[in-house]
Amino acid sequence: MKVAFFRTHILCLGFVLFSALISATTTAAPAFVKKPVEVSDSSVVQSLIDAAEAAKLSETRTWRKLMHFELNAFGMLRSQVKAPAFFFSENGDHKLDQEMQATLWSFFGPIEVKDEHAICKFPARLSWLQSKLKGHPAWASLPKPTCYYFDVFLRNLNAESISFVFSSYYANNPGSAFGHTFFRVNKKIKEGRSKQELLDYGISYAANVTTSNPLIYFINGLMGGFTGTYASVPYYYKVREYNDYESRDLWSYELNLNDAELQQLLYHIWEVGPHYFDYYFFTQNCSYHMLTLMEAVSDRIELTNKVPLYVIPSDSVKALFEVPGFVRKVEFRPSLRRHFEDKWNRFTDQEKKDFLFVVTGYTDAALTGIKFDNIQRKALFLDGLIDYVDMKDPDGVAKHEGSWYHMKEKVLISRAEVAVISEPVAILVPEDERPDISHPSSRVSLGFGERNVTGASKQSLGFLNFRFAFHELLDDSHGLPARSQLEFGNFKFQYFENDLNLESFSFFNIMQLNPLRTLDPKPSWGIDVGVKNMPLCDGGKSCLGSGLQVYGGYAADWGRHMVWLLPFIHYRYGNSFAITRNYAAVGYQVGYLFEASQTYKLLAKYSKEVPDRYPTVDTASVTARYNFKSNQAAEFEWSNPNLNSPVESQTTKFLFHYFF
Amino acid sequence: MKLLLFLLTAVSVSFAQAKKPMKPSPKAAAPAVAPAPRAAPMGHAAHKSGAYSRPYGMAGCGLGTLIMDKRSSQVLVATTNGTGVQTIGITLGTSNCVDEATSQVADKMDKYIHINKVQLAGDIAKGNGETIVALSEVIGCQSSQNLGSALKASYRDVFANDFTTNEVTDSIITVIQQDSQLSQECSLAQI
Repeated sequence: MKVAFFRTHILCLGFVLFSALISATTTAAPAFVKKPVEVSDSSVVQSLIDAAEAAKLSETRTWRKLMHFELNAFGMLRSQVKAPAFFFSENGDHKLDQEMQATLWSFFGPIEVKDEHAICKFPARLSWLQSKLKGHPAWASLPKPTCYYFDVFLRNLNAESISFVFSSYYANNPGSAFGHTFFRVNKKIKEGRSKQELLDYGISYAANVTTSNPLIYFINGLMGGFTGTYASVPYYYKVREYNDYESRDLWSYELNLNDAELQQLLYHIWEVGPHYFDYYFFTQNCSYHMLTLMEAVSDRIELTNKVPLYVIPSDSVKALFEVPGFVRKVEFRPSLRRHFEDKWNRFTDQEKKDFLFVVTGYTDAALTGIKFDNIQRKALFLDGLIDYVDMKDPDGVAKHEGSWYHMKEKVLISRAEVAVISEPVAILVPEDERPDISHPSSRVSLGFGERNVTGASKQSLGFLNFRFAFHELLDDSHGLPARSQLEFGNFKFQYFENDLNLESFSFFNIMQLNPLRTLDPKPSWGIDVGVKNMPLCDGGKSCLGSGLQVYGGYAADWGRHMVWLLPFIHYRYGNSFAITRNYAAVGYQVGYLFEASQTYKLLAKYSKEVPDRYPTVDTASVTARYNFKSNQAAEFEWSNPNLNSPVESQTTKFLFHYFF
Repeated sequence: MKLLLFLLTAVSVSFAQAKKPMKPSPKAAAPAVAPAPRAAPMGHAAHKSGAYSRPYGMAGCGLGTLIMDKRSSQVLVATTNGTGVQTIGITLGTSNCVDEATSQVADKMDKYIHINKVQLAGDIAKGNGETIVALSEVIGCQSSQNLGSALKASYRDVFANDFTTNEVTDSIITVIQQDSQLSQECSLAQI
């Protein structure tokens, strides 16, 4: 640096002499510091760096967490932050010690532009280093830059505490089918005022999606092709988006942080906030990088090692409970759907009839023609109607268009004219839907069974299954959507005559059963993508075919019983298939699920499948499951893979499931 | 800087995905300084956007500049995909994107009302509800009860046909100023 300076000014001797004089009192930081920092007394900074090195601070867990260093896929310790601006050192993303030195140099650098000083940008690093090197004389000469935006940030948040918020499952969008997590920064409550969640702030971590092509989206999401950044928005955004627009419940877990930890968390949010990571949908996702923020705050907070490699939002909620005393309070904020259902349940039978009449064929006369017992009943009826429209057509209502919106305009005017003030209603907290009580998402299963084939001796079988995630119809539905299934990476092996064979591998398997409701007639659907052993090879032997099966139909329920009829199409490609390598079939599945409780369930399935070039296959199975602990279950199954076959074959098996 | 550029690209991409053509900005008509409150009685014809002071055009990239301008009424639709995937947001940090603490009440109300409009309309028709309580907090009212009743009585004026956010804000401010009790109860600082 100085050499270059000298060269350019070689003809200007006077200036060179002058600058040489200055150099005698100022020293630049080492070469790896990106932006040259000149401090008036380098020995002060050097002594601080020496103290930090003597204490081996750069090797501590907290420094590693503040820098977001983790082992990468190749086993190397690297920062997960990809933005170069996060590092003061050229080698900051892989050298913790250099970055600490460079950071300390930068803290003592001159104040050039307000808000741009290292102290304004990295307050969490500063406060941690100050606490670790307490009493060091160098701190006395630390610059005091004005950090206007940082102050505004803290003042706006006005934080009393922080809650970890879980937005419940939303099956209509594959990306949010597992739920979503973010922070709510709870504002201090002014004296004599009540808490207003809407005015809090939400802080979330999300991918910056730059494509609308689902395939590119999927590949990028898997491979880290999108960047991920944090965002801070008023909490009312989150409420409107999740609670209303998508009708999802919000569960908040208030964190038990002391004042210093709370401050450090806010500081750290500020310092990583503007920088980007690579976003991986399954591993380093919205939940993972919420956990890493908390981990950077204190050594007592260990979370990422409490969740599997692939981080499912409900698992991240459970991880909070692994830190003793970390959750102070659990709160529930009901979705719009629950608000509507609460009103609906308070309707009389006649009001329900009137309601259906209005929503199935609205005319102004239909609404004005209804006779109400009193204005309170009328107010309740209209309130229910308002909720219903918001739920039915959230897009139209937000955009001011469509018939539902125009109907709502009139309903609102009628409601405003009814001289009744609606009182707030407390909706019962559905304790058994708390996401923290859900079963762990990975599962391994072991079992044995036998196959009875007509005219042959009994065959003993062994079973070994492994599922990465997440939930199936028969699993314990505490804290999970009972009537849906979402499985990723499900392997099933069968052991027979000293051979372990892959029976099936489901890359993903989704089943969304929506029992028909008069007010909300939604179809049911399912999709299963993967590899499956099929008896289509020479001599009726089984061999693997890859492809998918797509279901679409309807379900109905009464009490604990549910039935469904799902027509499907089925396609598999198999290299060794006997007649043709492309197997294509249509068929239907009839199902019955009895849920005696959230833990004891019975599932019966029958399906008929008519392939293009192969014989028709009818299969049937009955499965009973008892989930006796949140992480253990026993299952008994009888199945017949082909009712049409001249050779009768029936399999009975017993499985033990362990969730972890 | 690179990050800022990146964000701008990300935001503009999401803009490009908006289905409807963008409405002209309501702020364009907003005067830079606060004019005297309207004395005229309220009615549909009297609605003009931006009658009260808003610190638009200032540095920063809060909701006011980012969303009010460009997203029109599509905010909810556009921000919503629930995947933990953001199409819009206020980023943190030194990219200058924090909500200014000094932003004036009308501006704060615009942001609040813009996002809460659907729920607020319902609550005002009912005369009570969370969005009214929080609104009374935003504009510094002592209690939300009187505000709720007054707004309920003026429902037709506040939520006129195809209202814009600024119009709703201005109508609410006018309701408060014309109500002898509310004008005492609500500080409406800086208006």
